[in-house]
Amino acid sequence: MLEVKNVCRNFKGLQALSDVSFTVEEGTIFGVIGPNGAGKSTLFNCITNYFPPSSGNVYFEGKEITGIKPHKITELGITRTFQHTQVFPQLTVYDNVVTGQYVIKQKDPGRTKTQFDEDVERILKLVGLDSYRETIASNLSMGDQTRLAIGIALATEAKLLLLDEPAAGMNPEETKQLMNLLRNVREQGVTIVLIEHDMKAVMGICERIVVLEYGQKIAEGTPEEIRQNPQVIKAYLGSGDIA
Amino acid sequence: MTKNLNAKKLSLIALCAIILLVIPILLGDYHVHVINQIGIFIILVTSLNLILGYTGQLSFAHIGLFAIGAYTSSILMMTYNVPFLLSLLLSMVASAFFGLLVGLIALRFTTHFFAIVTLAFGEIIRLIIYNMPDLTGGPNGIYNIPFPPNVFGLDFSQRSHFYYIILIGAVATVLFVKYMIGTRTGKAMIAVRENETFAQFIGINTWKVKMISFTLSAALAGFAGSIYAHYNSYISPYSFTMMESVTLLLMVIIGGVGTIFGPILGAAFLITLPELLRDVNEWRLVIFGALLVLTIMFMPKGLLGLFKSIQEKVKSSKKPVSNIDSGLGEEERKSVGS
Repeated sequence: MLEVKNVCRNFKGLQALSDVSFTVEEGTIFGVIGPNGAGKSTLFNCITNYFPPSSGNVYFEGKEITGIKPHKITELGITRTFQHTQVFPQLTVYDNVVTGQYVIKQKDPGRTKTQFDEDVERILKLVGLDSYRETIASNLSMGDQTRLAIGIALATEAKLLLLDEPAAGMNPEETKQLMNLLRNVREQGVTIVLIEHDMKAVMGICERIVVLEYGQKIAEGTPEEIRQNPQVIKAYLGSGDIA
Repeated sequence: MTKNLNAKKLSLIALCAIILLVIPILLGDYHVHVINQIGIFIILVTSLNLILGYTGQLSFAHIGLFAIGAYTSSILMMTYNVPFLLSLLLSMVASAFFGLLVGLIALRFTTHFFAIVTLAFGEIIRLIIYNMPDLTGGPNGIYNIPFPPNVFGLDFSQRSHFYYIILIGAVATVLFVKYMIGTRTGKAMIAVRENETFAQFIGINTWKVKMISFTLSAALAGFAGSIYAHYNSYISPYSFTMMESVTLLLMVIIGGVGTIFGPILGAAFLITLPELLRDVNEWRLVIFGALLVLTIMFMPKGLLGLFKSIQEKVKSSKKPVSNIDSGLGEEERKSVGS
């Protein structure tokens, strides 16, 4: 569904991503992990064209999307969230979700207002914010804001969600709830690519994982394979050599 | 409960409507004139609020677009004998067109840079008007702009009769902007104001949304300009200076940016104030400046925000909250309930 092919990105002298390739299959939850500064967010930024890759290509459903405008990418069916959760702070929860539906007008011009309203209700229920509909978004807790951001992304009716560290700053209970939410979202036929620090959460939910270190892909496989990969262990725990 | 509230709201609206309708009968010519000026500026400032308050783009070009509306309407009616309603419409089209042109260039910039580019365009428009005497009368302006033709026994050369045109115009503009921001495109405008980058990534074509907002707001500025010209029956480049642009901005900010009623309050306040301060006219700009600083420091939500917070304080000091019903109570209860 999503194919990342030989993507490189440099910032002046720094090679933030070098020659990263992988493929995400439809209907899966795909993890991207790696130590701080490994290039995980840069990868998302290249996919959604926050900035274009220095070289390499990105394909979505067989079509090249490298370098096309961010809102066009969302129209095609990819929506991302940001590392430091972003919502529209002065709008109510309800209106935040409504802004996500703007793109539907390009995708499906014939949709009626009733359908739009029903969709908002369904999404609010799904992300568990239906009792907060009139709350101003900036008054929500961090965890709720993250779920709202996912709600906005769902309102765009994305086929592929890119989530950048959604569990950051959450307690274990909130993280568990979030993972359940992501499973539910996947049930609806949405493919998810997840950047995450919480190893336990990633291992529990992802079918496949890519590991980045210093901008390079050092491993790819099922959680079990990743757990036993010596290079990954080295990246996370150090080499173990006592010099 | 909600039915009760609606009935109260309706009767309040009816009361306001009656007061607004009888104003010219009760008040003298001078007061009606001041109110008419307020009305024209409500239209203009509400249009500015669409781009500044709701879309978050600080435009100084509005005075120029206002001027284009005023001149287009006057020239069409005087030189080409176009009927009033048609020239009103065409002046909106002209302003929208120039707004589109200005927007195409200026909206490539963001924040301060956008403000500076629009400032330049506002001045360019004024200077072009100043330097085209054959068409615009140059620095002398245009005299004896005809009043709209009489209808229903109303004689629009009289201020108390012209009042009704301005009233309809102002109400229509305010309702239009209120409707606009309720639509999905309107929500997208607010999204652009709140977080433009994020808006792009949820599929909002922020450039298009800003262009729509700027063009619509230009059309409304042209509408205000046309009414201004036919009301005062005289226009000159000196009515459309940068200083006026700053005054418009003050009206939005002092009234309450990004609200429907804020700019109305701001326009009323900043037009009434100089009338009250006629004796100390040379201090006008100093007072305006001080007001702006004080507003930004102590009441960032403007006069409207100030009134709301006073109202809330009064309400919370009385113990049983539930019995007091007003327009504001509704919002509060919702947020308490959630």
